[in-house]
Amino acid sequence: MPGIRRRMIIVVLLALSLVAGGWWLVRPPKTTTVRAQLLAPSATGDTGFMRVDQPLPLHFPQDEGPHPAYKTEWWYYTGNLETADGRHFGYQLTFFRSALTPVGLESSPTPSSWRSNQVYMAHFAITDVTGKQYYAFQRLSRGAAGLAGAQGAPYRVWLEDWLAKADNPGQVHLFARQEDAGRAGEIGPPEDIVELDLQLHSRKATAFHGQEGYSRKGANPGNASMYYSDTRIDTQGSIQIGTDKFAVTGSSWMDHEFGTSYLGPGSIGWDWFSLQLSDGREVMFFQIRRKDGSIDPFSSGSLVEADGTVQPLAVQDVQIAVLDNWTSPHSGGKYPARWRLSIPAYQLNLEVTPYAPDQELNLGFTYWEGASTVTDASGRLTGQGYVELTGYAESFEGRF
Amino acid sequence: MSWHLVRMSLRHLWRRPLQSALLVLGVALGVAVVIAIDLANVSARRAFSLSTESVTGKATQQIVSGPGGLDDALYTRLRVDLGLTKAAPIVEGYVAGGREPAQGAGLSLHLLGVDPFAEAPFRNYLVGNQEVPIGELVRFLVQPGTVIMSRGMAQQYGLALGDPLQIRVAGGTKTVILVALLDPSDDLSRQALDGLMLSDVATAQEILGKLGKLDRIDLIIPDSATGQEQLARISAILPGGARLETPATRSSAISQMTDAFTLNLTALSLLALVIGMFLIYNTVTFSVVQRRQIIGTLRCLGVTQGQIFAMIILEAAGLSALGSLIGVGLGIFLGQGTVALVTRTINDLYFVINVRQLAIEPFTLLKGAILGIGAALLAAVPPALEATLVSPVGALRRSNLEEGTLRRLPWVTLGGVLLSGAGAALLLFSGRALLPGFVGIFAVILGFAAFTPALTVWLMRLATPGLGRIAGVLGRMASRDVINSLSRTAVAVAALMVAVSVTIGVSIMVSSFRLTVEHWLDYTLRADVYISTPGGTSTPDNSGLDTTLAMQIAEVPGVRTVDTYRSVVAGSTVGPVNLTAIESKVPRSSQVYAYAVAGSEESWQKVREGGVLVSESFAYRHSIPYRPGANLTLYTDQGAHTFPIIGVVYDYGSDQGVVLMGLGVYRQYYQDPGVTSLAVYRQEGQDLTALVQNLRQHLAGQQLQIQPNAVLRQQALRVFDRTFAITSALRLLAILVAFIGVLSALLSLQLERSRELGVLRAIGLTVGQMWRLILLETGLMGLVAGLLAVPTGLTLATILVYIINRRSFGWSIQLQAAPEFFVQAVAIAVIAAVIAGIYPSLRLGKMAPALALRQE
Repeated sequence: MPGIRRRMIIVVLLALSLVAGGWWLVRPPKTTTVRAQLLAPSATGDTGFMRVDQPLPLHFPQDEGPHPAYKTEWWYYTGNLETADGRHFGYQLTFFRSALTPVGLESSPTPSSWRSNQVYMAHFAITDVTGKQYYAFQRLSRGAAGLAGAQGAPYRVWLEDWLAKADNPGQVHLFARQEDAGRAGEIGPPEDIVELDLQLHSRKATAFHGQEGYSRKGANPGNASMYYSDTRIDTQGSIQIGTDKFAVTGSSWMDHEFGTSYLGPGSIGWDWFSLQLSDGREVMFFQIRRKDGSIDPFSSGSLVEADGTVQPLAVQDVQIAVLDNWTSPHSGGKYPARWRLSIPAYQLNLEVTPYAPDQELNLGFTYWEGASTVTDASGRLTGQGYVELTGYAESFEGRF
Repeated sequence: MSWHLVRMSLRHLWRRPLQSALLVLGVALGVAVVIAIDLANVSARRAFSLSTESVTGKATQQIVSGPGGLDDALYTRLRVDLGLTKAAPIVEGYVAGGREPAQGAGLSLHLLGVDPFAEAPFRNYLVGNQEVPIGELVRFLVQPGTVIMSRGMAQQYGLALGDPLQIRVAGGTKTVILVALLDPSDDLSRQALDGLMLSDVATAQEILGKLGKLDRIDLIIPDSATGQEQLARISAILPGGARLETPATRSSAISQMTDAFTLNLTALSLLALVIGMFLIYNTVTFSVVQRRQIIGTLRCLGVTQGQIFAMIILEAAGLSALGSLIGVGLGIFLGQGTVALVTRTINDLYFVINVRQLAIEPFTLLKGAILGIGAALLAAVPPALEATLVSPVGALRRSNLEEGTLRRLPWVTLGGVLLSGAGAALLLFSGRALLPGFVGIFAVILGFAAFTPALTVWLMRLATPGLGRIAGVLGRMASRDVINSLSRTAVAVAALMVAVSVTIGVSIMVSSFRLTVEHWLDYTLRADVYISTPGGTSTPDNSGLDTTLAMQIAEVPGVRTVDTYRSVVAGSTVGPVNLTAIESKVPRSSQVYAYAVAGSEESWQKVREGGVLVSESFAYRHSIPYRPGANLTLYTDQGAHTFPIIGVVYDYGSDQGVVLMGLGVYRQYYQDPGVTSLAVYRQEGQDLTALVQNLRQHLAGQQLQIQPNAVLRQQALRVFDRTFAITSALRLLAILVAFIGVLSALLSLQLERSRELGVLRAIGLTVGQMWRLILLETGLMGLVAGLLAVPTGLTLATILVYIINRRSFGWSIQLQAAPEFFVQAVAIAVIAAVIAGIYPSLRLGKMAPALALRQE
C-alpha cells in the first residue's frame, strides 16, 4: 500500500520537524547573572564626632597611630625618585581612615572580630615621567580582622598588603603592589605589575603646622585638623613596572592629619603645595578656594628652615599666580597646570611646573596629585615637590 | 487530501461530541500529568541552579574545610601576606523566619554573610560594579543584627525598611533588622534572590555562633601562568583541614542527589500517558467501526486506501492537538500542586530550595504537547490501518474480522512472550543503569498485556459451563460473547489489567517499603527520648547544641544513660558525605548490620577504634564491596585520612547514605566540639511521661526539641507518607484513565452488537435480561482483568522493589505482598467494569428493537 506508507512517512517527518523546530525556537534559557539595585537611605554627615577646635597635646609614638573618635584621618606619603641614569618617578601612597559612626559600637553579646566602625581606603599612584605613564589604584577595606588598620607603637599603617611600617625607629618601610594593572590604571592582565618598595629615613625633626599642629581651615574653630609633617625624608628602594624593576633614590614628604569637617561651609576645595628646595628649606602652603571664587582667609602654610625651625605663613604672605591650565580628558575638570609662588618675606619667587600634566586620580573621589619641579626666578634655587588640587572636577564641600 | 473528506470528518466528529470529547480527554489527561510533573521538576531544578548562581557568583575556586569551618585568620593571610585582591569570605547558614515553625516548613531562609568590600568581582547584586556604596551600608556594617533582603522577600514577610524580624536559628531566636532592600533587575534575578537574606560577615558570625570562623572563601583565579602560581602560593598556606574546590563540583554533587527521584517521577507520569494511549486506540477504533459502511461507500466512489488512512490519522491528530492544548493548560494548573509536593519532598529529603512559583518553560510545554500528539498518532495507526481494509463492497463482515483476530492470537501471544523476555533481559543485564530499568519494566508490562487476549479466551472457555449452571443461557452467552468480540474486549481488558496491575504493584512496593522502614525504626530508635535543635532541615549547617548538655542531662533523675550524636557534612574523595559520629554505651542491635567484618559487638569495638560503618545506599552508590579491606578516605582537619570500613548498615534516613563513626575518633580528626542531638535512655521502671516532664523543666529556657520515641517515629513515617503522596495521586489517575478507556470500548462493542441485541429483543429478551447480559459480560471482563492483574502486579512489585528502587536509591526492601491487595485489585477491576457497563445498557435499553433490526 504505497499510498499509506507515503502518508505515514509524511506524518512522521512532519512530527519530527515540528519537534526540531520547536526545540530550536524555545530552547531553555541559560542562567543569567543575578542583578539588583541596592535601595537604602544614605547616612552621611559629621554630627557626633569629636572635633579639633583647639590644639591637642600630641604624644609620640602613640599619636602616630589612629584617632578613631575623629571622622577623617590620613597618612600621606609623596616623593620624587630617580634612577642612577636620571629616569624620574613620582609616587604617592596614602592611607585614609574614615569613621562611619561617632560613638562606641552597639555590640552583640558575642561580638565578632569583623565588626568595626572604621573604614580604610588607600591610594597608590606612580608617575613614570620618561615612560609618560601615570598609574593610580585604590583599595578599600574595613578596619577589622587584621585586614586594615593603624597603630602608633610600633608604627604601622596598612591596608591588606600595602603598608607603611617602622622596621626600626626612624626607618619606615613603604610597600604597595598592584597586579592586573593595565595602562593608565585600567584593569589589565594579572602579569602587569606596579610595585613600590621603599625605605624612608627622615632627616629633619617633625614640623607642626599652625598652632602646635592645630591647623585651621575655616572661620569655625572646629573646621580644623591636627597636622604635622616630616618634610625631608631620604628615600631609596625600587619601583617595578611590568617586568622592569628600577633601583631609585630620592626624597619623600609625609603628612599626618586628622580631624572632622576640615572645610567650612562654602569652601569647595584646596590647592596644596609641598616643595623641597635645594637650599635645605621646605615650603608647605594650602589655599582654600571658596564657591564665590575667593580664597579663604584661613589658608595658610609653613616654611621650614634648614635647621627645622617652622615659620608660619599666613594667606597674605604668599601670592599664587596660575600660569597655565589643563583640562582632564577623564573627568572634564579644568585644573591649573603651572604656578608662580611668591613669598616676598623670604625672597622666594618660585615657578612650579608639574612633571606631567595628567596626574589625576579618578577613584573614590577625583583629585589631582602631581610630582612637580621647582625653579627660582633668580636661578639660584631649584627643588621638587608635590601639588595637590581638589575640588576642580567635583566639589569637596561637606566631604572633608 | 480532498476537501470533501475533511468536511466529512469534521461533520462526523461534530455529530458525536461524546466520543470526540473522550479522545480529547484521554490526550488531555495524559499530557496534563506529564507536563505537571515535568514543570515541577524543571521548577525545582531552576530554583536550585538560580540559588546556586546567586550564592556562587563568579567564583572560580573555593576554599572549604571540614565541618568545623575555616579559621578567619586564613582570609586575612590571603589578603595581607599574599596580596590577593579577588577573594571573598562567606559565612552562611539556614534560619527560619517568623516565631513559630510553620507546619513542616523547616529552616528555609538562607543567611549569607558577605564582606561588601570584597563582593564586587563575585556577586554584584549587593555592591554593583561601581564604588562600594558605603553611605548606604553604614548600618549594615556597624550595627549588629542588620540584614538585606530583596523587595519580594520583604513583602512576603510584611517588612518595611527598618522593621525587625524574628528568626529562628539552631538553638534560639534572634531579632534582625531590615536596613536595605535589593531591587532585582529582571525576573530570573528576582527568583534567584528568593529565600536569600544578606548580612555582613560580622553579623552572620554573631547570629550563627560562628565567631572566628568562615564557611568558605571564594576566589577568582585567572586562567594563566600567574593564576597557577597564585594557586601554588595559596595551597602552600592552607591549613591541614582546608582544601580547594571548584563550585561546579560542589553544586553538581548536590544536584545529582535528586536525579533518581525526578526520574522516578517522570517514569510514573509517562505511564499515565501510555494508559491514555489505550483510551485513544479504543476511541478511534470505535469511530471506525461506526463508519464502516460509509467507508465502504467511499471506497466504491474511488477514494483510495491511502486517503482513508490519512483521514483517520488526521482526525486523531486534530483531536489530539486540541487535547494537548487543553492538557497544557490543565498541566500548568496541576503543576501548581505538584510543584509544592515535589519541593516539599526535596526539602524533606535532600536540600533546601525555595520555589515560590512554577517555572513555565515553553520548551517543557511543547515537549508535553508533542508527546501527546505523537502518542495519539501512534495509537491511531492500528485502527486507521483497519479502516483501510474495509472493502469497497462493504462485504467485510465483523465475523471475518473476529476470525482474523482469533487466528492472529498465537502471534500476539508470541509477541508478548518475546517482549516480556526482552524486558526481563534488559532488567537483568543492564547493571545499575536506571533508564534501561524503566524501559525494561514497560516492556514487561506491555508483554504481559499481550498475553491478555489468549488468557481471556482460555478463562472464558473454562468458565462457560460453570456460568451456564449459574445463570443459564445468558451466562453462556456472556462468556462466549467476550470471546466472539475479542478484538474489542481484549483491548479493554488489557487496558484495565495494566492500570490495575500498576496500582497493585505500586501499592505493594509502597507498603513493603513502609513496613521495612517501620521495622527498621523499631530496631534503630531504641532510646526513650530524643533531644535536638528545633526545625530540623535536610541540610545540616554544622551548628549545634551546647556540648555540656549531655552531662547536664545525665544528672537528671530517671536517666540511665545518654547517647551523643554529631551529624555533619564532611568532604571525601567521593564527594560530600553525611557523617554521623556516635557515642553510645548501649549495644547496637545486630539486625542493623547488612554486612559486618566481625560479630556485632566486635564490629562496634572496631568502630570505636577508628573504623567506619557505611549505610546500604552509600555502599551501593560508591560500589563498596561487602568484604574486608574496603576503605573510605575523608578530608579531615588533619588532612586526608583513610578509614577502614567495618560494615554496612541498613539506613533509610537518606538515599545519599550515611557514614557512621565513633565520636571519640571524630573529635580526634575534626576540631568540632559540637553536638547535633542526644538520645536519652530511661532507668528501669521510670515513667516516660514523667521523664519527659523532668527534662523539659530542667532544660527550660533553651530552645530545644524534646521528643519521646513515639513522636519521632510518627514524624519519620509522616515524611515517608508525604513523599509517596504523589504516587497515590498518579495511581488514582491511572485508574481513571483506564476506566474511561473501558467505557468507550464497551460503548463501541455494544453499538456493534445492536443488531444482534435487536434480534434477541425481538424474540423476547426483556430489558432486564439484557441488562443482566451486558453487565455479566462486562463483569466477566473485569474479573479477567483483575485476575490477570494479580500476577502482573506482583511481578511489577518485585521489579520495583528489587531493581528500580535498588538502582535508584540503593535500599533493600522486604517484599510483603499481603493478600488483601489482590482482593482489592480484583474488586476494583470488577466494579470499574460493571460501572462502565451501565451507560451502554441504558442506551441500548432505550432503543426500539425494530430500529435495531434495521441497522443493515
